[in-house]
Amino acid sequence: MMSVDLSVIHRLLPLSVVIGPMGEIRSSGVLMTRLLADETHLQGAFSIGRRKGRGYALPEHIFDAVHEGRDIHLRQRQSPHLRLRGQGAMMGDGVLLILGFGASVVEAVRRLHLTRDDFAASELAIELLFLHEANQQILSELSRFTLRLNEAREQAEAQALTDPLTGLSNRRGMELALARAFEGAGSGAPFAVVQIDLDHFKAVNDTYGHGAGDEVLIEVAAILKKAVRAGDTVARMGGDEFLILLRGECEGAALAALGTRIIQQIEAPISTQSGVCHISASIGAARVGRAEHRRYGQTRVAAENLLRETDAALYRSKREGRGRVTLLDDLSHQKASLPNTQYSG
Amino acid sequence: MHGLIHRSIEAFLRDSHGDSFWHRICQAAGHDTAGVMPTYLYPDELTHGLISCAAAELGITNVELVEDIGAWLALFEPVRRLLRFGGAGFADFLLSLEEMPDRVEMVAPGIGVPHLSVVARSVGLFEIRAKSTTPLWLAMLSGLLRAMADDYGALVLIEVEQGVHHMPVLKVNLLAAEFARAREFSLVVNP
Repeated sequence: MMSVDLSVIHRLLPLSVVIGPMGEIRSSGVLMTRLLADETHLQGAFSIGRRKGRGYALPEHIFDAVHEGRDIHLRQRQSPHLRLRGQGAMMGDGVLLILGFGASVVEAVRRLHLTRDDFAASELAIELLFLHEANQQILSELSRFTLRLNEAREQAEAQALTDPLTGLSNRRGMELALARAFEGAGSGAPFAVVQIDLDHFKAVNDTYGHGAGDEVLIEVAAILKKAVRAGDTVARMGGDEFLILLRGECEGAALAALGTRIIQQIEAPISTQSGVCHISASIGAARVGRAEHRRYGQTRVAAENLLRETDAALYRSKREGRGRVTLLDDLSHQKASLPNTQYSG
Repeated sequence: MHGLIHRSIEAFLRDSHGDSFWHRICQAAGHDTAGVMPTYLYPDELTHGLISCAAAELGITNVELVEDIGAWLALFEPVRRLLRFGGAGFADFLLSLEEMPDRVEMVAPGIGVPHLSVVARSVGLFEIRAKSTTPLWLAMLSGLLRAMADDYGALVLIEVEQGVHHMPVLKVNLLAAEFARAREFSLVVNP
């Protein structure tokens, strides 16, 4: 015996519908009526929402689900991403279906321009919409913050790897570049290092003061920057010591020529606010090809070993009278009693 | 207090008085000038320091400043939208305020909005109390409610009175629920 007026149910539950055995619509809530458009049968507007049920006729599927106490899943034919979910109960020879949008409620509200009145007060749809929107706002607030943090981190990193006076890399930046050349992606590729130590720089500081010394260092940095290609790294390792990392294959003679050219440019008089300065530079350089990669290996001390050996070549330049280039290759050959070649600037 | 509350203060001060004003206040109050961390829990003294410094600089009371922040928040579209989920009309919205702390807690755990009680004394007369030791929450709410009343097109009279134990009570007199046209609100933002 029916004791509740169907119109009351439909008013309280806008997505309710009563169908007969063939799926024919007997009555429906306001929103369901809208979704049905002018279809006379439920299957005209909806298909079965879950893969498992496909192939069945829709009414048969619904009646089975009601008998077995299963949930019912429907899709709107016009916009298949609109999914409905609910339960049914037998009502005479028909079924009363009570449906809701589930998680597709955001999409449903957008597509169907639903308002508060389209939902039963007992439904959590409004809460869900609120949560959805509030979550998005919090997320955007968080990502705004993450973005700013990242910018700050990148800036701090760049500062940490830069020599503030010359704008070149600092020692740390060069160490990273060398580690990449030995261990990082693309390791094993040939490269060369050029170690530059200024001569008579102390005299500049002593005669004209540190301000002039700084101007000289800035000028040297500019010379070095101009002497290399875009992919190479130039660093001020500290004091009046510079290091260049040249990427790619480099002949010994070309390396020596580059060093000589750098020395010539550094030896040109440098005007500072305090006076004209005359300095020079001593250079030690080393090539790292396939054989050297094998010799140094990929260990953390590879760069250290390379720099120590290059330092020996530089020291040789200093000892031989400064203002000249010594290649590590030649240093090794000399050990093997081969004639010593030196390149004077 | 929660970083999002600091963020509201920051956004209000920047928007109303400029970035340099905000930086000045940060320095005066000892707040990190690099910006607010949205999920960080700041010491309450720092929050009050921000409010006191800004109020002093502007020559108004803390309560007045916080009222302005409340009104500004309700005019800020994303927040206005969230508030409008509270109810179809202004009376519904007022009554839903009791649920607001829970709603806010669901999306921003730890934000610490105090428990609110809303009592309808008679038709159109509401009393709102906050379970908090500071009167600033209710001050913020009074600014927010004034702006939301406009949003709903309602005509209201809002007063803060001293209740028992010096706890303030917000008295809202709803004179006309549909005094003017309500501002537009749809359940989802249309792209």
